[in-house]
Amino acid sequence: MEVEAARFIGAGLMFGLAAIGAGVGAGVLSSKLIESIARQPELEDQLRPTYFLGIGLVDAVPMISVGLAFYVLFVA
Amino acid sequence: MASESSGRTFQEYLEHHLQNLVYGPLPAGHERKFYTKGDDETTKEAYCQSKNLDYDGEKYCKETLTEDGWYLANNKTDVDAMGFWALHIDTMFFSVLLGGLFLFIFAGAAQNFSLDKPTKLQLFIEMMIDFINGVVKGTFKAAQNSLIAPMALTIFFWVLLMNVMDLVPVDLIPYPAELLGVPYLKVVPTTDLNLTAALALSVFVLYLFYSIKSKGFVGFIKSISLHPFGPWMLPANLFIEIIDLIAKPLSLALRLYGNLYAGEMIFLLIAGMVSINLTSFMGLGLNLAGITLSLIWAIFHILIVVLQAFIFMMLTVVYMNMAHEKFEQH
Repeated sequence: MEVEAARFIGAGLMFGLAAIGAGVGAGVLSSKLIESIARQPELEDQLRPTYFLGIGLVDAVPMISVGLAFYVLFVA
Repeated sequence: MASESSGRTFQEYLEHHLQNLVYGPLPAGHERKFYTKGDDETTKEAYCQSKNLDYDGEKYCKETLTEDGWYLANNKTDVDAMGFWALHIDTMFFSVLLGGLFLFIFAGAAQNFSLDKPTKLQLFIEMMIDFINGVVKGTFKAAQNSLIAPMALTIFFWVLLMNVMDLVPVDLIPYPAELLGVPYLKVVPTTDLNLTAALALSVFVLYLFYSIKSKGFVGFIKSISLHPFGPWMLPANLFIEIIDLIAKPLSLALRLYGNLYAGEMIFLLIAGMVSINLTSFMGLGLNLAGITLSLIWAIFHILIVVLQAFIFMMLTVVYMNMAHEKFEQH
């Protein structure tokens, strides 16, 4: 296979898988947050920081993957 | 393209922006390369000769070193030849500068402290200290330690300030610096793995210190060797716990670095797309698209910048809490 083509396929896979993972993760987190707040609205202030911590952790790895995909696509 | 104005291709522009300013030792006999200036071969050759260097026929002047010494790296081959002692002086400069800025602002607010007439700065800082204090009180419950909250505050603001440098336009500082003779400049210290790894290692050393202090040396050894499966599975316990231990600084360092590096990379790609040629319709369109994309990405990036600083701080506090827990036999 041509190296150039392999590079595009690789970068595309990285973008796509990163988006799927982050989407599922953020979706689960947000739905659970809404469920929890609906059950116990008085806990909202305590849940929100934990939620953002979780979102940050979920967001980190796909973001790295996107950055590396751009690296593979344009620099490497 | 913005890259064209500096006489580089898009690729070279990206690589140029992703290279730190490195200072390190080079051995005698190493061949250094410099970019020449000029439009055709004769002017390029004349430029090299005016600096007493050889011309290699394409883009570079060559110089072979006659003795060992410390030099600023001009390209990747120089950096590779430097090996271990390649110091990233731009990272060091900007991180110390921003750390100093943080201390200067907070110390100034503390000295001008007033109960009757608080300034807006003082109110902001009180708010931030309350916020960090609340987070630490909510998370750090294993023991009493008055070092944790100040450390969390320092980490949060230092990392935040270093991350905010990412929102500065990518060519605003490096381009004038290049005109003044600085070959490379990376203004965001957290896009350098050396800095994030140093921060994470410092946290890790504190983690080990407090672990041994609160559990005792024997307790610490017990906590990593007897834990999940009990004494009869000692090798498996050791294996799992040591991986767990090493993963802490590794994930701290790589998470911060990866996020900021990816963000910077995307800013660079957008900047490389923006046209400097405003006369053509195509150039104008690209320019508008670039400005819009930069703006959108910058607004989205504000979230990442603050969130990553918060996560670094939060995880540090969580690790410190784990370090202060007493060893319990299950």
